Amino acid sequence: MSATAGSPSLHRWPNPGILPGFGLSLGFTLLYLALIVLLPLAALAVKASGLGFHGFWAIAADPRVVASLKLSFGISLLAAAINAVFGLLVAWVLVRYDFPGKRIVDAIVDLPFALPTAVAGIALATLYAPKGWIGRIAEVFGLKIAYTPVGIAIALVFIGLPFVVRTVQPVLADLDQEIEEAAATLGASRFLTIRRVILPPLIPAVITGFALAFARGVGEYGSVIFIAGNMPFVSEITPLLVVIKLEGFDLAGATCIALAMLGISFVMLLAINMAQALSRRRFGHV
Amino acid sequence: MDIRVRQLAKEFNTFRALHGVDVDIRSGELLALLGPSGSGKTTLLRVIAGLEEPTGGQVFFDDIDATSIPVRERGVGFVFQNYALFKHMTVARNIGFGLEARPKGERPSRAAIAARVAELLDFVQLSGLGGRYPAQLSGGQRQRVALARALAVEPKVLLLDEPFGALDAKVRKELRKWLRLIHDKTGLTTVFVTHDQDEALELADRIVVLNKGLVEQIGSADDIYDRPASPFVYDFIGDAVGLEVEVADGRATIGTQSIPLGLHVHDRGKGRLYVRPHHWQLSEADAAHLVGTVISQRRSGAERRAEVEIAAHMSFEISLEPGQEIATGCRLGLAPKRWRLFTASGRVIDPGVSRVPEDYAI
Repeated sequence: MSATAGSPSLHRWPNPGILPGFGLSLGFTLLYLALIVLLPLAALAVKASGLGFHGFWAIAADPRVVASLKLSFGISLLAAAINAVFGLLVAWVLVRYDFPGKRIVDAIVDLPFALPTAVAGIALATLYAPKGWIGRIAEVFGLKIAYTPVGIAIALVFIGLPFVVRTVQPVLADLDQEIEEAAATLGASRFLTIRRVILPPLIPAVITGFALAFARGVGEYGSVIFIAGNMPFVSEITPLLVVIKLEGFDLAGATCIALAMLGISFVMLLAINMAQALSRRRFGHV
Repeated sequence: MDIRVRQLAKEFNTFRALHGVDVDIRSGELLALLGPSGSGKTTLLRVIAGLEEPTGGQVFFDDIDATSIPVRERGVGFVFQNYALFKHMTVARNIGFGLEARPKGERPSRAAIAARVAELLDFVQLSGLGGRYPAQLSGGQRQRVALARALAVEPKVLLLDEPFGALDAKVRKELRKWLRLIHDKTGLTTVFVTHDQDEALELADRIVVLNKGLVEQIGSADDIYDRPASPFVYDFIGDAVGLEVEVADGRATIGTQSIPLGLHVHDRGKGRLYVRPHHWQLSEADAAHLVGTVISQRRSGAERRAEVEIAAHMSFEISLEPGQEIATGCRLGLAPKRWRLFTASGRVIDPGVSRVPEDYAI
């Protein structure tokens, strides 16, 4: 192999270079991933497989489960999309402008990371409940936020925000401001400059942030259950359903739902990652 | 198009980048803005482009006051030091960007844009590279793409900010010649910023020397090099020694020695006497007015340089023929063949110049 190392593209196994460490580090990475990630997931699969395909399908296709899956994934996608837009805006302001208290604002972005999710859930529920500060105002307009899917969306937007901001921020900071000036000297309007010059290089980072926020949203439990109201078919998220099954000592049912969720998540994240790779190829000549 | 800059001032918070700059740029000329870092040369260029708003003064394009015209509508081609290419677009899309950015009514057809891009690629000698991305090009090629992109919108004036600053010496020399060629072909009024005096002297029709936000001198390479208008220009352009002298009775006194300046010098008081290293006439020490001791010497390219000490802690370099070797420690007589004296009262005395050229601005 080393005799033809000069043309690595001919090999499926690329030449890792002259510095040592490739074998050891790859070995460790695979072992670590297997122990930390794959082993528990395999245990989940083994447990669920005890039911057989028909048993699995009977539970996974249960209308209540299907409704919860639709809700969980639908609202997570929506919340991630909202975060992609506004997280980008927050990152923009934090990178581009100097204002008093900027460091504090920057630190606030991380709060949803640091807060125990149950605390966040209780706080949000208190705010948006019909008697809460915001819930009271919303009620005047006939809007009900807490105990509806809207409430779930708010909770997921809350916990997902830092993912987009923190992935976009460094990329935006690296973006050369001269390209905006160049666009201006070439006669481009501000809107065109943002659309054609600034946004495209940011898209890979935005997609990454979107994927992270989405994944976090799907798995979120603590902050959602307090505000969701947890009505079956309306505002019951899948993780809650898993917990309900567990509390009823239905371990097989719980693993079944969990496996269904895992499968869908995996497929969606794979799709997002592929979109990300595509966008990187399209825009990523940076 | 000619450009007139009048009393231009620019302040960044407390830092005054330009204070009251007047420059007339003639239509079709290639002008260099030369100065050390912090001299305001880039700020001046950016104000002309409209990328920076002046805190005072005006910029005229022909007879139109362009000071408040936004950069988008000013019709300038601007080339950035670090190219500022759009990295996610191909070379062809980069070049065509300015045309595609035009509002619907004025935008050329797709075919017309493609034709113009092909023409420009050919003009900057990058035919066939239109499908590449900037990351796949060398520095010199990127700079040429940046220039083609600026030319695509048919600007009235071409402005370049340190265009060759990020390139290695050899590519820089090539691009220098090539920029001259482009300028001569397009006939555009062209202004470029540089801190490299060789670049300015070799390339430009005229040079504006800036220092601390003020114009020190405007003139041709001959004016700037042979007739520096101020001690700053002397120190900045080429090599020269500026000796602190006491002037009286037509003589300049340095320490215990004195040089006759000629009978026409009637000034008295302190001054700075500037002499370039190759303008010293060497002689035997015995009969000379100024005597120095060679303390070191070295070969530098086409000439030989010797460090000569004329008093304790006062030494300067003189230039010798490469074959002319003088032993270190040897005593030499020195007489300036050409010199320029700047008196403390602000007068410039130069035996080589009988008249003051019109272009002088101090």
